[in-house]
Amino acid sequence: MSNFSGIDWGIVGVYLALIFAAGVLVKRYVGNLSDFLVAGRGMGQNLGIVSLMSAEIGIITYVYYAEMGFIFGFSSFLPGLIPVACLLFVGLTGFCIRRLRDLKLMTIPEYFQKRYSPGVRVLAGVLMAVGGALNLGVFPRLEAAFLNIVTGVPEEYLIWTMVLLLLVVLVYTAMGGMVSILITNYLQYVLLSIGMLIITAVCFLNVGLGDMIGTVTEKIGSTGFNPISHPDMGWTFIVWQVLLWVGVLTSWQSIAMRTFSTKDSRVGMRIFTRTGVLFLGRALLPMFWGIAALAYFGRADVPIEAMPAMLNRLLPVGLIGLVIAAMLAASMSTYASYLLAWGSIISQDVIQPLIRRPLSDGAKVKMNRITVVGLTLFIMFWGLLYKIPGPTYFYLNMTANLFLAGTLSSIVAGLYWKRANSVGAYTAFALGALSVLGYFFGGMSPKILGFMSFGLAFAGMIIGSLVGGLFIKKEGATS
Amino acid sequence: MIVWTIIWLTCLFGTIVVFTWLSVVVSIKGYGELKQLFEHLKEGEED
Repeated sequence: MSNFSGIDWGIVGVYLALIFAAGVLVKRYVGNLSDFLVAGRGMGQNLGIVSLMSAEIGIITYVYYAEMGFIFGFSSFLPGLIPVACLLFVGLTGFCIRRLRDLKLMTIPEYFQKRYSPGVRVLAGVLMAVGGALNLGVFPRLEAAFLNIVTGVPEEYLIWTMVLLLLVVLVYTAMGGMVSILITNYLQYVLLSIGMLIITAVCFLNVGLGDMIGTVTEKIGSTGFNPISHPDMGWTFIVWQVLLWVGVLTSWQSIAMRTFSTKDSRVGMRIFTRTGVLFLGRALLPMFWGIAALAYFGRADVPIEAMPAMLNRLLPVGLIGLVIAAMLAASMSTYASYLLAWGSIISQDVIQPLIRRPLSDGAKVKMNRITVVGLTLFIMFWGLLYKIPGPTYFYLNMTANLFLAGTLSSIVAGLYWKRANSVGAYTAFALGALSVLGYFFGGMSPKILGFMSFGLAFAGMIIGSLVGGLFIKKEGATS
Repeated sequence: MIVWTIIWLTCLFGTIVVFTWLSVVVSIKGYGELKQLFEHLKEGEED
């Protein structure tokens, strides 16, 4: 018997009405492409933090981190700490982001055209579009399953929940681009942070910390506490995650869009430093809910469904509606942000360079919107067709790795090494992407493949540039 | 195992405290910046 009542549906309805009203109100301020994609570069520090957090927290974040907590116990906290260290490093040093922001870009592949060649831009764009779409492709199914379990909607309505979720997101995203996202992100952040604290309190009060520690000891053993000794983690995993997260922070399009939206590079750096601590909450709190679900149920056939099933049983009427509204808030901003991010890559860096003629701002905004609709249709079907092997966190990491290893090595070398050239960039992208195929077709260990992917991409960049330097003249002017 | 438990519990409680505090701060200050952004875009529309 579900706790989700008419009152809770009412709370969710009021929330959706408020968000759409806000979106409609700001639509008229979107004048040009710069407003649509980077909010006219007028974003301040705190709004930037709120926006970055809202974009990077969705139901999917709660779901995969809770699954990690359920499977790995307290050891799961390690991959939650690594992004924080990376955020502080990038924020304090301005590593890559300072120079990229000063170039006044809209997308990361744009940099590759300036520094290397139009071909590198298109290759990066294609890999980012494929990796980004595959990454986003599992969101609707997992999120719809979460919503159905918490609200008590029968499983056979999964597709309808997915359709409804995506329709709401599509209308919301198409309304006003980055301006609308920034404004609604604010409302969503307030709601989602309240929701996260409510769930954490419920876990403490209803399950108890002592029971959680006892269950992890009994079910997982010492590897539930010591990540170094866990077979799926260890030092190789740590090095891979550090490289992956530096890559995400410097070149993940939804994050890069926020870096490019800031008033100047110093504001961008401060956003990263201060977001670090909030990112700790983004990971550790859902992982804690996953551990609570393990203690609550003892075991589960499908670990990813344990946390929502626990919420369905523990949250009382009224509170459950507020939490679902908070979860929807989190997801809408993530979808909107990701659709806009990957849509902009496809339209700006793949389609437009291939058309080879200048388009008006109006035509570019229209092309972005069409791309977003196409992308939405793809993720609807991909989620239904593809079954994730193992923990969702690793799948998401691997799809990101498809382009991140090549992107990171090409950005770092492009910005800090004068001899880097397009041959190195092509080699880096090819080797970085090829390594990842072992996950999809060979069922190999993600930590080994991820580590290899970055190692080969950096080696490819160095060797390719040195060899290429013998044959090609100086290219680009931006380093 | 005891050492790891202490480390993780410290991280957990530290996270809850700082997450709560920082969320309140950025929400209050973010509201002010949101109003400024609106003004900035309104001016752009009038121009």
